[in-house]
Amino acid sequence: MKEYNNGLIRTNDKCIGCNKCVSTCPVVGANVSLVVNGHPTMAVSEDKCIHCGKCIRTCNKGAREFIDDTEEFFKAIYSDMKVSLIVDPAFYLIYGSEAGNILGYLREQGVYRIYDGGYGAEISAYLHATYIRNRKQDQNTATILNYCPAVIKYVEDHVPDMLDQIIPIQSPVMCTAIYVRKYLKDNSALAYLGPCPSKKDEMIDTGNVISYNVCIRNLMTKLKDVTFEECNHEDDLKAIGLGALSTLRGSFGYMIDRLIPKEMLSVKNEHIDRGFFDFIKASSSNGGYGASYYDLIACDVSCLMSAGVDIPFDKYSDLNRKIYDLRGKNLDSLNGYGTCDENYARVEKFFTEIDPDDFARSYQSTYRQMSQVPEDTCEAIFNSMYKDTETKRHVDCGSCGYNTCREMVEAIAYGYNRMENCIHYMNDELLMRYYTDDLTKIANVEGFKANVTRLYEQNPGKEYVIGVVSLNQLNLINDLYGFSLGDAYIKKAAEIAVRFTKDIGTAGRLAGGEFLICFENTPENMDAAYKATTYSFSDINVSFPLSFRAGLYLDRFRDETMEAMINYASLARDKIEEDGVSTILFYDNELQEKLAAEAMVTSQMYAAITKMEFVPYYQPQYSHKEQRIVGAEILCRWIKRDGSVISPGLFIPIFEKNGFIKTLDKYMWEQAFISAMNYQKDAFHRIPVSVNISRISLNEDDFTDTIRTLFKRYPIDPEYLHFEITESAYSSRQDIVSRKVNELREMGFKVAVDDFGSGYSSLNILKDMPIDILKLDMGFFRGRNSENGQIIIRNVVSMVKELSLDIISEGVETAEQAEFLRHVGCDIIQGYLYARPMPATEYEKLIRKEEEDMTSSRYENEMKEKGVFY
Amino acid sequence: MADRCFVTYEQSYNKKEALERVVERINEAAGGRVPILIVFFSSNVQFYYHSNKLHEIYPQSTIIGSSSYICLSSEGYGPDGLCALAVFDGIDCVAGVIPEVQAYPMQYASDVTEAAHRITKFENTVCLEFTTALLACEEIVLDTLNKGLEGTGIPVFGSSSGMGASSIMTYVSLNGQIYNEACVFVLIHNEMGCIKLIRENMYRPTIVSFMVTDVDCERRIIYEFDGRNAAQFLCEKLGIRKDRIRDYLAEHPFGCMVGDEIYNISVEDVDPDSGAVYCDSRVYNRTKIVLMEARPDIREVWRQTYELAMDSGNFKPAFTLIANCTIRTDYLIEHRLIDEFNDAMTDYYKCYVGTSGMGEQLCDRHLNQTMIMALFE
Repeated sequence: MKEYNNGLIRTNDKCIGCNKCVSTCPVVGANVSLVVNGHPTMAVSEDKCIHCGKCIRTCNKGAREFIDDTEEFFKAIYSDMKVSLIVDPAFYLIYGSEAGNILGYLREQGVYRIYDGGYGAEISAYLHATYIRNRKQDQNTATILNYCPAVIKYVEDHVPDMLDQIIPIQSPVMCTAIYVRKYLKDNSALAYLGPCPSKKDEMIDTGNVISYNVCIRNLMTKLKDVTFEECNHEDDLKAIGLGALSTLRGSFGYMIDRLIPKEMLSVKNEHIDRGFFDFIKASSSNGGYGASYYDLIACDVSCLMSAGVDIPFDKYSDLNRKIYDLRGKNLDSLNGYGTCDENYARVEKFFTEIDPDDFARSYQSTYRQMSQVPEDTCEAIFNSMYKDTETKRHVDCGSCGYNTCREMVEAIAYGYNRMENCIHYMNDELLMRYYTDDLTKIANVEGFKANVTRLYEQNPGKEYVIGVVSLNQLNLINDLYGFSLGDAYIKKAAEIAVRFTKDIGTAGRLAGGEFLICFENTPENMDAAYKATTYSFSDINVSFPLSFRAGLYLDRFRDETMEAMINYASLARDKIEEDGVSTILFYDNELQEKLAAEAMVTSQMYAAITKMEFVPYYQPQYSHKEQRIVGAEILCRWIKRDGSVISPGLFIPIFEKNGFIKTLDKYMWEQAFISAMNYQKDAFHRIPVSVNISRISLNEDDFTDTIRTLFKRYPIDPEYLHFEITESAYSSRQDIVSRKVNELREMGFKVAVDDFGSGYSSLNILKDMPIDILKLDMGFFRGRNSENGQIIIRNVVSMVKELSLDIISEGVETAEQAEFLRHVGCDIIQGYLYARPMPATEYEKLIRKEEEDMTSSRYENEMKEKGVFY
Repeated sequence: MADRCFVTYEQSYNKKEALERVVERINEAAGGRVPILIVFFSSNVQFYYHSNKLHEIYPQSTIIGSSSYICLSSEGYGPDGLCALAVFDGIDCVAGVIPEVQAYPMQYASDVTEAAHRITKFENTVCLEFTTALLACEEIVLDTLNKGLEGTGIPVFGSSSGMGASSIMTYVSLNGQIYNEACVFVLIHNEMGCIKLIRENMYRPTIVSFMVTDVDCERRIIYEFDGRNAAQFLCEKLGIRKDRIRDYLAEHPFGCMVGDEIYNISVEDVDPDSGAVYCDSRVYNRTKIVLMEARPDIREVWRQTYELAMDSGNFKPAFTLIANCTIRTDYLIEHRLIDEFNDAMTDYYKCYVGTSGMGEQLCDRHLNQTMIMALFE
């Protein structure tokens, strides 16, 4: 950051970054808006500041202060250095009779001599008048009296064209200094006590004839605890005429006015502000502004209102009245009420010994032309401030401190100000932030809704499609390439969404890799949507093509809220599995019903557990050879309190999706343990039961711990409980699955592969996985080539037997299937042909009956063997 | 019929010898005609001599010149000697000087206007200018020229003057008068057809872009990008150490994004301590910058420029002036492409002369690391 606040005028910590100083400052760029440690502030650029101190007066936070030489002045007099003091007439006017006491005190402190600056004002006024009287008049040329150092600095720094318009005579203060140095032979160091911080510039420009600029405010602050009554003083040089009043605005011109013919002088008193000199220049070239000479000061009212004094406005008006009384009295003295020629002759005679050349002054341009901000730069800034219309570019409210929006934009371009200081920009920015996504800069949800609403209003007869689009592979990109590239992917996708909807609708970003689109429902647009397959992102260094999945809702009747439509589209999108292909799914009635059922299941599942609505059902497994039940698979049934049944085909996939399957599994395992324990106690029921383990539960880290805990709680003979793991669970993370299965087997449980043959079965499972039982699904029988299926089953059974595994056929529904299975050697069969899943009571009844039948059959056989006949 | 223009270059450490040979060839080509305009380039060391002598020899000609890093021409190139274009027919020209270019050139805008009104026609006229470099004044010179030419439609084409590695000052010259703080200009009206201005950018944008958020425009210093310390920001963004940033940016100029156009800005220096980035062109606050990289297919770039210039063979330049940035020239030298470049320029444009300076000016833009061309039909 460039260095600021290193000149005479500085900003302190009280600054709140308001624009008051900007608005009051005559120089564009002297106040620079910064953010320091998160706090906005207006710093002072020494390159530009003319030290007029207007900002100090303007700032009601006291955030601006000035530097003067008060401390150095006291150091000098206390170190026995010979220092004389030139006192500005303002000091006498402000402190009246007390002035003498204060100056007496300073003399006691070691000030060598004290001179009234009003004397130099009279010399300066006389020499100005001489210059004017001797100069060839040109009514079209503005001429500036050298009175205010800030005005001179302003011209030198910023209006070089007018340098030769300043009368080349020293100012009143410098005239005093030169007079005491040359004519009174005072070689001591000179200090100036006055109201103006910018006097320091004049001191430097004129070769440091005066060494110390002591501002009244700082002096009086330093002496605030001093009692002055005892101190008396007489000036070593005293003004004798109107010089005593020269500090007043217009008084210097008034003094000159008394000395030159009226036709030669038409003084205009002004204070400067931005554009003032442009005005003078323009008015000069247009035939004049009615003034030939300008008595200009930087301060608004007079030097008495300068930053170096501290007079409240109410006190100032009293003071002003006193001063005008004094002016009347002083007119009686040197300048008098005579004609200008009489007055001039009298003054000339009085100053007859002075050489005007001693009081001549030259001026030096320190101007450096600013480059014009290119139009395209302004255009870009205007646009980034949302000022995209001529009206918005001409608000010109001035709240930023500049007169026009254009000035503000140029100040921003130069780095003097920040967009955040424009209240209209901030308002628009807030709105924009509310409606815009931060990352992609396209509409966010709110913005999208607003845009769609506008679209609907503008096109009442059109039919629109609302869509929620999710990027596939975003997680993969984040993982592979990092989040910054993931962000780049999202941004590119946003561009595609905007491009796609351009002229036909609108797009926005929902969150993450999710976008909202709305476009008119036309065959062409739908065709374009369906043709969008994959996109290349090679320009952001993503090597593989990327796709999306989109849920769409066709808004035919405009009878849904925006929220609802987005939700419908989102639900449709959720039904699409993520893969490498772009997929579009419309939200329709079927989907709606499905989703309603899903919602019902989801909303009731927790309560169902506590209400014990999940009921274990038993499907018996029969042995052909033994002609009896040899096991049963425990299956879950959801039977609601009202007796209605929810199909496992409905709730299991939902539970698998929402994770509730883990809770249900644990519940069913416990039921299985309880069953196994009960049946183990009962001599009739010593038949094993099997229970399912879902793929999701199997993947849980604590899976075997859970089984182990149940095993501890229900210490059954593990022979009576088998676990069934679906074939698909083996397809991924085989090493982990294998370890967990082994742990079950180590506990003594048998493990079955369930549904073998229902999907794309792999013989590797038989080779690699530690299993005990294979449950053969009848999927091989289904389809057109049932002969082929039979061949496969035959060989699988043979293979399983060779591997010494048990085999159970499940899903057997026909006698032909059963006969075939028996024929190929698959003895144990489970299926509707023999028994449907049934409640525990029925199952127990069935077993009991079977036992009884078998007992009576055994009895009959024994009787037969003994020759007893019925 | 004698040619309307002639280009010559004599590479010699001996300034007298260089001048004699160049003058001899010009006179031979002139066939008794007096050149209307002579545009010349030479090294700083020989510049004063050539400027004075050319004016002595051709007092009736408008002679404008600039010190150059190297002189380029269809007759060869090199860092020493004298290179000149003499135009004998088919042009009208009016020249002028803008002094005080560092502080307040605008006060001379009226001189430019006056010059413009002395030219035969505004149409098919270009303002060729050379401005002394190292004063950070090109933008205000352009403002002045464009202000002076306001309403005429005359575009500005020119170069900041150049210098050898050991020099500390650059010079421009008009009619034997040498300046070290001025802009010399000549308004050239082509009576034989139009004048085409072309900009060639051998750099292409990378994906690294950012915005200037704190800048000292006048001193061409950037303090912050995207609200962060400029050097630190670049180091982090580019994944390089602070001590590498200078070298990196020498090969990767900033591209100032203006609408669909990108204008190159060179980075002169980076202060790794303060983080300030010193540029060779003025950068405004809120400017969008993209980091550039050299195109690998530079021959294709030259060919594309040629295609653009020749307009499918419909445009036939009689002579061509070019301004090729010093850094670009260095790139060509370092990559051993300078011979090929000069051959290609000669093949493509036949009669051409060029300077290698510290920046290029085209219309209202001061550019760096760019080649600009003015082709006279």
